[in-house]
Amino acid sequence: MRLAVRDIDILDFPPDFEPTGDYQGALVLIRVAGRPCGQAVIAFDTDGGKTPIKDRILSAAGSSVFEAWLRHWLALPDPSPSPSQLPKASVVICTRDRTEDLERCLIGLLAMPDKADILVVDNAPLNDATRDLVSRFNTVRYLREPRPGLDVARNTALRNAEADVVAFIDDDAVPDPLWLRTLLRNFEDPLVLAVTGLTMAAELETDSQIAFQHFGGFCRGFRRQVYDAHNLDPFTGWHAGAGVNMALRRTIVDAVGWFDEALDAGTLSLAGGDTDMFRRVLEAGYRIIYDPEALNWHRHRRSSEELQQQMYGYEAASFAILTKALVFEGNPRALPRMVRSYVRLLRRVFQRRQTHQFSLPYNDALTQFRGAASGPVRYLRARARAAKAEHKNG
Amino acid sequence: MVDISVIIPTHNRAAMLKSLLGKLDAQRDGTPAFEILVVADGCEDDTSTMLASLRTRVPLRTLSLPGVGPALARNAGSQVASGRLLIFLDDDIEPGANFVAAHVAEHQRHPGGVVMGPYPPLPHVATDRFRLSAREWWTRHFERVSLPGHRFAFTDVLTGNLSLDAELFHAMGGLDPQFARAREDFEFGLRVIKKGVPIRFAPDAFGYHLEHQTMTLTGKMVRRHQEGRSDALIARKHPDIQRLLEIHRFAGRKGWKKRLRRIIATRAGSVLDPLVKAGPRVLQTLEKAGLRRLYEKVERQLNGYHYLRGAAEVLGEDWRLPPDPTASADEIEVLEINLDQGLEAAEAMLAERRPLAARIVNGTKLVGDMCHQIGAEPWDARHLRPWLSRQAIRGYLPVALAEWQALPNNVPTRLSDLTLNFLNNPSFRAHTFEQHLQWMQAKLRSALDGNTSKS
Repeated sequence: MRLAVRDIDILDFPPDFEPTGDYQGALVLIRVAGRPCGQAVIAFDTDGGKTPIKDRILSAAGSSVFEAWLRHWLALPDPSPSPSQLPKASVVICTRDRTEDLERCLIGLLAMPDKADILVVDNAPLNDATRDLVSRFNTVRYLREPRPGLDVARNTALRNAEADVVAFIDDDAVPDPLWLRTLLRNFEDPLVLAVTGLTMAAELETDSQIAFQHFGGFCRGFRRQVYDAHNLDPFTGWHAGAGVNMALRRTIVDAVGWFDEALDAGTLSLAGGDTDMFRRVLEAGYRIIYDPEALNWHRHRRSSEELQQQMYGYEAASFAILTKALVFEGNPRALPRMVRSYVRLLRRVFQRRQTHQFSLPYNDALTQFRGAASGPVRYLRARARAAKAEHKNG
Repeated sequence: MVDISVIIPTHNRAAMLKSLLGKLDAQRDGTPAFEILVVADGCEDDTSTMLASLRTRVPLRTLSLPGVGPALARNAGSQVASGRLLIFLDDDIEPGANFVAAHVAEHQRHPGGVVMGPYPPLPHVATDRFRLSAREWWTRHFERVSLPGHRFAFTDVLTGNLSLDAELFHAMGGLDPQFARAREDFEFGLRVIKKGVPIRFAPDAFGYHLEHQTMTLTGKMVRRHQEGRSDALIARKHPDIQRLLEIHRFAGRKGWKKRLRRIIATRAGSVLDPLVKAGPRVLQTLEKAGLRRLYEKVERQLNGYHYLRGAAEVLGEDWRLPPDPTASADEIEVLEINLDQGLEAAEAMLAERRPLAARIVNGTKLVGDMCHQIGAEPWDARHLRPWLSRQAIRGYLPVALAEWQALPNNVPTRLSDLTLNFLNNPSFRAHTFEQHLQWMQAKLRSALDGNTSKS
């Protein structure tokens, strides 16, 4: 199954919306007067074209679209903040041997109206392809981090960035023009240490990509949220967003410490560095803001093996973090959470498999459970390994 | 002769008061002349020596009282103040450089009203439940009040950062000393609103509330006691708003739970008090053990207990509140407004009539009811659009969409019930649920065919 990804403004509807190629439907990002405010999922050719496409999009649109549209219609002021001055920012891309994606990301970053200091951290590369690519962009800084691990690269970036705010974007994502500016406008409150944004699918060409988007993808809704430990349990910090689209105040290091180098891609723990960071921010009494207008586009994993690996990794990481909280931080709340999550996952394994609109060539419940089961051991080993690496370096 | 008096009641907070006075002394250039009047109420620390040694450019006067509570302290301050405009400021607020000027400017723009300024908590790192929820309450309160088109109710009125004409304050009889230690602001707000005095919000009259330095878990329990006491007194003085008070939930004869709670609160004090005294420590232990739900339960019970003890002090064992006079009063006149004249016409009508209740229709269809609420200001033009976009969105959205698409009024726009139900629900759960349903409702063809083709 293939779905088109479209980006439209409801006030200025494009005349050439009709499907091309063999797309069966579309995921539509809907804007009102330029601001992203909701989505619609539509199938093409359901009633032989009797209903105009605009009406079909409207009837499939999410509630947030109508809220935003009505505010516009009533000429009510926009509730998003408009600070007089934005903080200075560095944009960081942590990458590893993905030059094709990286090039697209860099072109997108350079097309933004705001000029920022851009830093590419090349993490344990196999060859010089990334360095050669970056050297073609003369305003982009290049840094090599030989130790593998996404969190190692993030720490290197935090150490080497000069600006007050460091915005992270994945190498397989492309920013919307106002992405950076919109992230930065949320930093006026000194308690805000992290701001996250909305990440939409850049393409939905394969079942795996559609499945990932259907599972929730990186979308965290279309309404701005201010999170602290009062309204978001730190262990569910991932509700606030993901590392693919986040900006951190550089003082986050003094407030809650560095990224955990035993977590995330490139280590045995496979993922979770961003989630762990958000958890610590909330636990330390600070705030995280999710601003859906800070938009970027992510190309999800295309093959089903990669998606399976990702689902496995997310569960492994979530239990790695619980292990960390329980064993190394002495947080008693981690234990009941862990037990509850295991029970929930185990129950899913024995439940009849739900039929989805897409089909996965493997048992997703079992994949998740295997990931969860391996999480604690993975973390302990990754932590030992990270400690050894640090020892060697220091 | 100065025209403006800033009245600051204080009780044993010398250091905080000193920094506050420093901020007032350093108001922005061009601020009209004003005086500061500190009402030292039962101060036993070095407040008086600090005040005596302080040199300020702004005239500073002090009044000493033996500890009569903030309401009486404010009244006493207003008696000796020389200004025509009174600004009440709490001693745990750190005013910004534009504080006095912003109050004055708002009164110049719209004379004769009551002006409130924001004092959200000073940004501080909070990790324990109590701190977090206190911070949340204050932040949210001022966010809500500062929204455009907010309809003020008496429960929005706080005397920590409030200004009004001295003449008006005296005409109102000042704050009621019955409510010396809690709720004197709500009660005053109620009389202000009943009198038809407009309440305005001046976002620039800004100060930071040092709430994290002055509020403690134990202090909150004491405050709950005072609130219970004051609520009982308010219910006696203004029986028409008793339904809006917490105490109403405990009154009445029916329900064994209610009765049991009241009996415990009125008679079991000597047994329970020592136990309850350990409350804050128990809560801290629960928090450390990570038992969040139990913590919340225990906290609720403790708060309820203190509240009832306070109320029992006034009501004794009887607990009968005076009858509500509005229950039998005549119907309120409801203004009907038809939107087919346009929004501007509707706004003009609201501004002219200022109804207590209105019914908004479009053609023959009901859009929504602007309800009458005791103790809230009457409806006005500025309320209409925010009200339509939030409270009445389900009724109004189809109307607006039809107009936008130039459809006749009687053609319903295609809006699913589902979408309508999710409107204005910002929670993450609602989002995931809605998104899942969006995918299901799209009925993508491969699902219908049972097509399992892989990439």
